[in-house]
Amino acid sequence: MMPLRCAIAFWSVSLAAGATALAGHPPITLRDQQGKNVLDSARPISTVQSCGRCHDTRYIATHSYHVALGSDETAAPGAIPSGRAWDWSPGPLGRWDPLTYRYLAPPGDARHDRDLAEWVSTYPRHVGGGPAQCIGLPKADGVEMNCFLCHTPKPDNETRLKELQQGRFDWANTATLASTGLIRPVQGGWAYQRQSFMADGSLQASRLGIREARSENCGLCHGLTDRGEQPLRLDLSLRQWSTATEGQVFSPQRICESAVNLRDKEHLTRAWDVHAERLLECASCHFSINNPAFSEPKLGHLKFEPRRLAPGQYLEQPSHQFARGHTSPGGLGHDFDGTMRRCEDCHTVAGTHDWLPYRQSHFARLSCEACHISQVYAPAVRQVDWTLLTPSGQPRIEWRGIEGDPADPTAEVTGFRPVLLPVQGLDGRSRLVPHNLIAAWYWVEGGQSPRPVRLADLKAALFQDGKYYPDVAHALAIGRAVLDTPDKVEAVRRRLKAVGVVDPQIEADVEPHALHHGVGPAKWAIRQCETCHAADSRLSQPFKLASYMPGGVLPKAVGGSELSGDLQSADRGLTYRPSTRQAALYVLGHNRWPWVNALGGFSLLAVVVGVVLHAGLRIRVAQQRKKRGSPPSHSASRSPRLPPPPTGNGSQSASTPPPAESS
Amino acid sequence: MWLRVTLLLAAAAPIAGLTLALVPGKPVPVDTPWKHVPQPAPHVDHSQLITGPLESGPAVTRACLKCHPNAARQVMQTSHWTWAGEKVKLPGSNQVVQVGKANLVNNFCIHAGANIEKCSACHAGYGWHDTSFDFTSPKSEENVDCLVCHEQTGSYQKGNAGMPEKGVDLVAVAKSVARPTRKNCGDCHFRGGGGDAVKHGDLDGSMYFPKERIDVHMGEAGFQCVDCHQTHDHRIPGCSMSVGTGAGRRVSCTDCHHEKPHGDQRLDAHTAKVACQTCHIPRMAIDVPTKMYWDWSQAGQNGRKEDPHEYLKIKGSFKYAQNLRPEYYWYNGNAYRYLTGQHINPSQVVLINKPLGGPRDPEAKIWPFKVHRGRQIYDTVNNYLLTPRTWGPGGYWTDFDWDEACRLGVETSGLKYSGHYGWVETAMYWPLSHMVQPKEKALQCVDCHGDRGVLNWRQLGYEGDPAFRGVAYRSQRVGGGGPEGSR
Repeated sequence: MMPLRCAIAFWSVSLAAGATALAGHPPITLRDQQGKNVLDSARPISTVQSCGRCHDTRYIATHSYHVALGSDETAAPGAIPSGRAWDWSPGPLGRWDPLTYRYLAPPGDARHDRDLAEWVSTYPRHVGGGPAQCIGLPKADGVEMNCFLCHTPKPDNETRLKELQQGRFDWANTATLASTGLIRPVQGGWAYQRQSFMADGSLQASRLGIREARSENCGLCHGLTDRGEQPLRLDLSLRQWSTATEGQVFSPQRICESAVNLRDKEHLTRAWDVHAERLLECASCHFSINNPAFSEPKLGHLKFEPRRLAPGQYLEQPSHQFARGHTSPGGLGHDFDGTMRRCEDCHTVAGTHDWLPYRQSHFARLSCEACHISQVYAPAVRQVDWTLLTPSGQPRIEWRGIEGDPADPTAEVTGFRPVLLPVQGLDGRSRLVPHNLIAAWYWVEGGQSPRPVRLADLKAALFQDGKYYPDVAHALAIGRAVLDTPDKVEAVRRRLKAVGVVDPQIEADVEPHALHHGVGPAKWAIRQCETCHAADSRLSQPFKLASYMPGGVLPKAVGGSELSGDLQSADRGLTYRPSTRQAALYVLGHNRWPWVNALGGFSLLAVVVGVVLHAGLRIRVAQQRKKRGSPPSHSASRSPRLPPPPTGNGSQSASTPPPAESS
Repeated sequence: MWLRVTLLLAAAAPIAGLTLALVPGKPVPVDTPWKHVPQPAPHVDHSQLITGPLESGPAVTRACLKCHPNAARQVMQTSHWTWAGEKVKLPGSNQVVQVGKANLVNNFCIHAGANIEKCSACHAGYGWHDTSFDFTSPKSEENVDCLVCHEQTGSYQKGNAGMPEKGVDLVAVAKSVARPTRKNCGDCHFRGGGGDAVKHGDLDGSMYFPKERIDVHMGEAGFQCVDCHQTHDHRIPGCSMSVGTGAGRRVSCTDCHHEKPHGDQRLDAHTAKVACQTCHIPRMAIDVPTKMYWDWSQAGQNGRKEDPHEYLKIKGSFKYAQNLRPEYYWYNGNAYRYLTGQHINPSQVVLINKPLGGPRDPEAKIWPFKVHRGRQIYDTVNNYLLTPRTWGPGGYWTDFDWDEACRLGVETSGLKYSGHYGWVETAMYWPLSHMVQPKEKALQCVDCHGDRGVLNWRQLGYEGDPAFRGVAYRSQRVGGGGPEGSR
């Protein structure tokens, strides 16, 4: 182990120096699960064995909520904070997702949607390890944590996913290297290109391009990230998760230089994200929590904490628990809430916000994002309707921020202005944070123990030989092919009962998705007071949620965020109208509260009456004194020791010494 | 008494406030680029002042000199007439030289002096056929070509020896004279090297009537060349690195703009080491491809397909490029200059005008350059670049005989030709100052820093990307030129 420690020490130097590539990484031997060189065994690569010779891969895999995905935080269905009644984990493993309808039923549930193997094969955003390593199928060894996915420059995620979909779990990690030229597909698996390896069977690290995780690695699962080398294109699908749910794009490219058919694009000369443009990576803020470079004193009286991991120790056991914020609804890793670098950890407001009146009031009520993510330039999902699948078996998904068919690359993207919702920060204060809201409608069965109708049951209820059942088709013949009338709802409900679904009901919810990326440069932030303080303040602008409401069901908020406004149905659609009153905000210039007006009017009246009364009294007293010829009383009372005014010498002032007779 | 005064004031206060609020204030001055540009005197219509007949170019000049008696003498003091600069000490040595377009070698058409009758089509004078041309005597004042800079019909054309082409209506042309426009300057400077965009990466035909996306000054603000190159006594400031060593009065961004104009501490800090042009000229040859490589050794091949952007029998093969990133080197305003007859090392790239400066040079900044590389003829015995005659009788374009072309060419340049020639790689540096983009299109952090950055920080003398390492220079001496210059 000592030589390896030396290698790690050397490697750590290049890391500490801010090197952009891990040039010092030693050659690596790719090994199978038995620890044998894969060139000899021709077996799939075991990342645990290969990387584990230097790095503590077992430590890494057990210190990663990306691996666990909630499998270590399970509870009885309905007992998950901010979860739905059937959620049994805070993570994707046991948390039903209304966008993808992917639900792994709790262990022991006889009516499961899919078993663990099926879940692993269909869930594209898992890095392996944890639950995926416990599949336990006869032919499947499970999926180890995939180091290549995050630590190589061009991981072939598509090929990896194909392997998973085909159930060849043991080859999934190996297939991630498909674009490196190190492997080639053969019948039943992959073969290694021996000529690409060194004579001793090891591999130059540069051949793999091993490096720290970059934003584009994160983007494989989290949304659209790129380095801006080619004109950026949008793929409006749920594969780009954060882009689909929040419209967020992490790219240094100027928006006007992208390939997006965006309205008024020529004027959008800012980068998609100013932090990407300023060379930050995802890990700049979402760093490993035991990375000594980011270690900060935990005690208030210390400015610096010298007791921290040495770089070599860190590289041996780098925690893969990443620092995170605290606003993601129902997310993972809440033990690490607030560990992330927030805006205020890097930026100061002194000198940059001097123009802002009532600064402290603004900072106490607004997140930085409220002004600095004033507009989102990519479309995002606003409505998902699972109550009636399309003939192709898909839900109806509506996007906001685009006019026309989202699948049409020539459709005009308009972007959207996010809605501001109050979110309680770690300091206990609620601040307005920009959000996208996604409303979802779906069928639920079970009465007292509700759960989403299984997708297989839904399809069986709706389709016969690839077409709607005649009674469903008959009901849909009038108007739009959506469940917007009682007759249509009843037709589908009858079919669901016919396939054994107990007490099917339509439920709906609205899930807020907080926006923290897509930050614009300072000059693009909101600076106009009237944006919030005018009568038509953005704080009360309606935010459209849906063009129709299946079954007329009004959704309820889920995900731990409270909607501080009202859901209003209009033209059969649904709109959210924020309310500053419900958010406990009084916004000068915008709010018109009657009691405030009354108080103001009364105060003004009282002042006028007081002034008039006081003036009248003084005039009256002065006139009376004038008639009597006596000096004003207040002079005497305020200067009791002063002598009477001198006579015969008009130039003498009040500070003149007393006349001689007083002395 | 006091009570009345108080009541009066109380009543007057709102009236005063209203008055102050409603009375229009002094208008806020609008910041315009023209604010910094001196407005020229109103133009005098010459159409009624000029009368014909005017039978020749000198006849036109004589007519001009009747009202502008000093103009020709002034022009004759400038490099537009002499094609030579002031006597200067060659940077990096004690050698005093007087160099200019007439006696220097480049890697385009190689040498003007050997082909002067053709090249002088861009001379601001008439009759420069050969070395006997009179540059100085009062009698030669009438040979100053006023029209090339001042005529506005667009019909004026110069031919060999700078004489007006036949068919030019000299009276009409002379009646049109006015303040020079981009057309006057561009007809020579946009077409240097024998065609549009051949020499300059930042000056080409797209700038006659440029859009804002081509150049913010000329496109959006409508500047003419002389608005920045402000002329006094016909001396035009600006200094091309291709025909000098850097001496001379320059035009600078800070003639109009503040030295730290960004309102951003980080960006303003860049101005100490980064020229404005580096960020604000992110691309060159935006619309018109510019010549990037010229291989003379390929010339003379019969049967090869000809294309003005790829191959011509008389000139050899070329590479053109459009809308491309410049190269970036340190530049302190001075350049090393290869002098005609100077010895070369044929195994290395000959740097004809290597920019000087380095990271520790307080005057040097990182500048954008077009680097024109080429392969040109040299004397394999004497080891210097040759000056072949290409145009005219016995020239290469006539007889395709390099040996004869060199024998004729050295007669003008004064070199000795051994009779043995070969080919050597050369490079010329052209600093960019036009095709300026507004801040919305300037380079961003990622364009220079990080993985995507185009700057080779180690080659520029840094230990690595200063965005991550801070400003730390390598300890060893680093040449100012860049790829070739540091070798």
